[in-house]
Amino acid sequence: MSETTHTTTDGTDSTVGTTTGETDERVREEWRDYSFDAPTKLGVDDLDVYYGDDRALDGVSMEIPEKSVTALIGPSGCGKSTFLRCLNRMNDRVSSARIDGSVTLDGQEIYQDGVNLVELRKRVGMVFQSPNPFPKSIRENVAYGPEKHGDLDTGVLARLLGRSDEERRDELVERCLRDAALWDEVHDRLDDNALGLSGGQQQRLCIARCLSVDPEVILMDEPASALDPIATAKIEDLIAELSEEYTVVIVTHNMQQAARISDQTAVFLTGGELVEYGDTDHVFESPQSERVEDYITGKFG
Amino acid sequence: MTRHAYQESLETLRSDVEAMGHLVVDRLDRGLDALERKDADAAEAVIEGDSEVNEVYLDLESDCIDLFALQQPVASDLRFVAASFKILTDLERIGDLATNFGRYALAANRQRLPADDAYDVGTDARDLVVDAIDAYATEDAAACREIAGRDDEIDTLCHTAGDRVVRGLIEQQAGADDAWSAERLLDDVSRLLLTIRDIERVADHAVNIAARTLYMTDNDPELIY
Amino acid sequence: MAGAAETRLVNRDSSEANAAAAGAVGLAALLFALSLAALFEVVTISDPIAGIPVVALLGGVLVLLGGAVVSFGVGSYLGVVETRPSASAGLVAAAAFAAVWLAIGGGVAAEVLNVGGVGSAAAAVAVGGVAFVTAAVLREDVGSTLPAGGVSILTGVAYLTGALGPAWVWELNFEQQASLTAEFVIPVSTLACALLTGWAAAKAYGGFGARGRRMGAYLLIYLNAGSIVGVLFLLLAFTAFKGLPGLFTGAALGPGVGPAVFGISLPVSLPFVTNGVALLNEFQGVLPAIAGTIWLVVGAVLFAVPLGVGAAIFLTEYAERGRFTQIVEVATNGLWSTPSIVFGLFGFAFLVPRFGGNKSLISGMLTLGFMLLPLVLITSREAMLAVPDEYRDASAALGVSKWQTIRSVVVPAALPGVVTGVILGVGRIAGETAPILLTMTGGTFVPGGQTADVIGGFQFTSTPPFVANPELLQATTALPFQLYALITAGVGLGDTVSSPEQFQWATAFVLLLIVLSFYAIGIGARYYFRRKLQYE
Repeated sequence: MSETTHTTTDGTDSTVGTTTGETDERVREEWRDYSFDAPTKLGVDDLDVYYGDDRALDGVSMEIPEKSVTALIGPSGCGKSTFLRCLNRMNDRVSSARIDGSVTLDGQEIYQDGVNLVELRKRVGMVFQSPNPFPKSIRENVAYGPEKHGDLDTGVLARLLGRSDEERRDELVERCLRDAALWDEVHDRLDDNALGLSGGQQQRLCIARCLSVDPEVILMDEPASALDPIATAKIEDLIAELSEEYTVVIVTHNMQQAARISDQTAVFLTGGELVEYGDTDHVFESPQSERVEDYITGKFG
Repeated sequence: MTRHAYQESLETLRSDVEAMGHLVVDRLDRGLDALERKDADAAEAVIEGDSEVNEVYLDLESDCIDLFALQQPVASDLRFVAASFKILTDLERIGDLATNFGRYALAANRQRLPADDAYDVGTDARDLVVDAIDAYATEDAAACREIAGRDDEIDTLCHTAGDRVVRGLIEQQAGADDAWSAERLLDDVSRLLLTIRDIERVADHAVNIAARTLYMTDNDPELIY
Repeated sequence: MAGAAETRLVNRDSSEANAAAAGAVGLAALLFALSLAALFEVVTISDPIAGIPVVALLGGVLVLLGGAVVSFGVGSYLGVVETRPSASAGLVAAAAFAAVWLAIGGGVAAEVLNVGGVGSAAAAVAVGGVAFVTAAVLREDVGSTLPAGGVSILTGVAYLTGALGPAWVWELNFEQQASLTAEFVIPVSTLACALLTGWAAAKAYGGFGARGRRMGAYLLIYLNAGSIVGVLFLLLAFTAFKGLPGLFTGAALGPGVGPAVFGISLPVSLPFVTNGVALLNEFQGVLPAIAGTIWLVVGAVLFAVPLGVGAAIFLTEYAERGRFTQIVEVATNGLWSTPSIVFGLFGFAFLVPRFGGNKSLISGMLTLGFMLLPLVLITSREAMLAVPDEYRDASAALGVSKWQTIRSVVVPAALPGVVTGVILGVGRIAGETAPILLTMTGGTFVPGGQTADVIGGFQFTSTPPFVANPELLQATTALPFQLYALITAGVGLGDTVSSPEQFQWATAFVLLLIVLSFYAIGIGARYYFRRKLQYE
């Protein structure tokens, strides 16, 4: 019985030598050509981000396919959260941030003049690291987005005029809570304050709230890092379900989590550099870059 | 149930290994059958089917690696995947041995020596493989121990069959009248001895499967030696 | 070290010594409370209790206490009781003891022994020095207890022997006609003794050392807190006690006795609250003043809260942190510290001429509003800064505009803080006299018929601004002013008021009640908003 040599996707042997400039260039070429069957949802080209004089991202380029889970991993301070926040222009809220480069959503540049931020953030939603539900009832939390955008009107005036959207609002709330796998646990106490839920439930509530504005992309910044293992497992299952409908981009410092749930993985290393990007099983079983191999096996970082 | 996809992939692995087991048993059956009936076409078919077994083996091996790297199984899941990994190797070897039977069958169409008892042992070995695969699929620890016991019997039977072949050689050798039939006789004998040895190895691989299964279910390495 | 070589994990205190120390602490606390009460004349020192003069009783207790404390210290030093004292009582304690003994030494030398100025100064320094050395150099257990117990014993003996008695007076030579009477000195010295011995006894209870110092600190803190609460309670009780008779003058219960409200006659009549001051009244009352105070507060709040909250929103959410916001902060703090009379002058010079040149209710409202504004701004700003940024981030990530976020998330979350600011501010402005003196108040005694009727005063006019309210432009009175007027111009109420002093106290009591009810409304509102924000 003979042994066969396992080949990488591009057919070359997966021998990685010392980190000479030549090898690094070859690595870059190979994963820049990373291609996938699905259409591109988010395209990033040569993105640089500076906070004052510090460079947080260094010439990052990648393409994110739709309806899949893309994980961004790397050591602390490597710029993965910064990158994520560029995708929905949340970095605009930081006054010292300077952004160069291009980010496109469905082919349209989002860093040009005249972009409607409201529309952008409706289509690209975000879930944060610590669950941050508003100090309101569960129902009000989920309906917050559509109500403030004017899609739902349940004010006093509307009720007086008989034009209230209460039924639509309740349908929306139920749908979002079901999609976030929270309905069964809270359907009988929708008017209770959201802060009374457990950490895992609060995070799923934030996901439901994010879903209420009908996004296409869901950005998640370490969504389970503040949760216990059982709550984390529920969130991971939820992400797997969501990825059938939505494009999910998730930042995580937990490599095993990235291995478990993502379809493709991007590895950032210190200095804001994107070092490898490809199918998750290739990145974790036979990474092309030696630095990535060292990081994943825990030799540094 | 959390980790839905992961649980499903474990189940898929189990049924895939079982399916490969059935495939290999089928090969065994055909190989033994070709040997017994000295059917050249059947023998050819068996030999060609080896590549299919190898492909399945490579696929399943890659699935196991994926599970280790991407899902980080622990405890009983880890023993399950590790055991399945090793069992795949044993199944693949059994497939190779089935191919050997096919080759022997091709060369056996003018055999003189009687070999029925060898073929009987072959059936016993084949049954042992089937039982081992069932024990794996149903995680039956008692069956594993029982399989190990039967292997001793099969070893004895193989030894007896080997002795009979040699005795047959000695008897026939006395009445051999030309060099060519002596040559043919020697061919028969060496081929039969190889067959018997391969049958014994099939049984050994079946015991390995049972051993790994026992380790998987009871964390008991007793049968692994 | 006497029996304290190793520290044990489990304290096995000897219970009798502990009980004694606890008893001493309790006694000291009791004495503390008693002397506070005596200071406020709730209890007088000249009355005898069970036939024994109070002073003698106090003296006996003080001697007992002092002796107990000294015995604790000596017992610990001799190893009778297991303690873990430090090497010294510390410089602070030593300085405090030195100061006390210095006063005692100097006073005794000057008054009792009649030694001349220099001699008594020398004696004072000597005695103070001895106390300092005792406390600083000797081991902690004796260093804390000996000076404290000594003071107590000395004072107690002075009481018992009558050297310090109810008729004792000390003429202070450097003040004209000033003297310290026994009614002041005895409670104060008892207070001091109780404090010192209580502290020393608490340290003994804790076995000296770190734990003892902790017990001593606890005692001082609890006594401090207790006396604050006690004084507050005394103030309220005192005002109520003095004011209730005046409040209920002429009160009657019975059908049809009271004023008519919506055509139905109330069964309760309280003329102090329902009448004004008029010649023909059977009983005089302060209704106009009550109405004036209430309208002042309402007007000031209506003016200051929207402006203050709006400015706070601008400062926290929209303005960049920089020179400008710093200037605004400084200006606001300065405004808050401005004396109220300055506000009054501002109102007099600026507001009064603009409302017809006469003093008016609306000038008073606006002046008090300006006084309230800085506090509302400061507290609203703090409350908004305390709203976590996560809420703003979450709202922005949903694509909600900044103003909507402020309206729906930030302001509701900050409301309890805003309400707290309003409560605090109302407490201050409701009692202000100086500003309203200059901007609002007219006659000293206002008849009931001239009570400001703001709600009923709205009229439509034919010229812009099409709505006028002459009631707002009238000079009227408010409770603080009423009180001031009563105290300074006591007569003028007429024969119908039997006791002007009762009337004054009743006015003060009513003012206190009104401020307290504003507090209650504010606290209720804050509770409501807090419940909405929090997990119930």
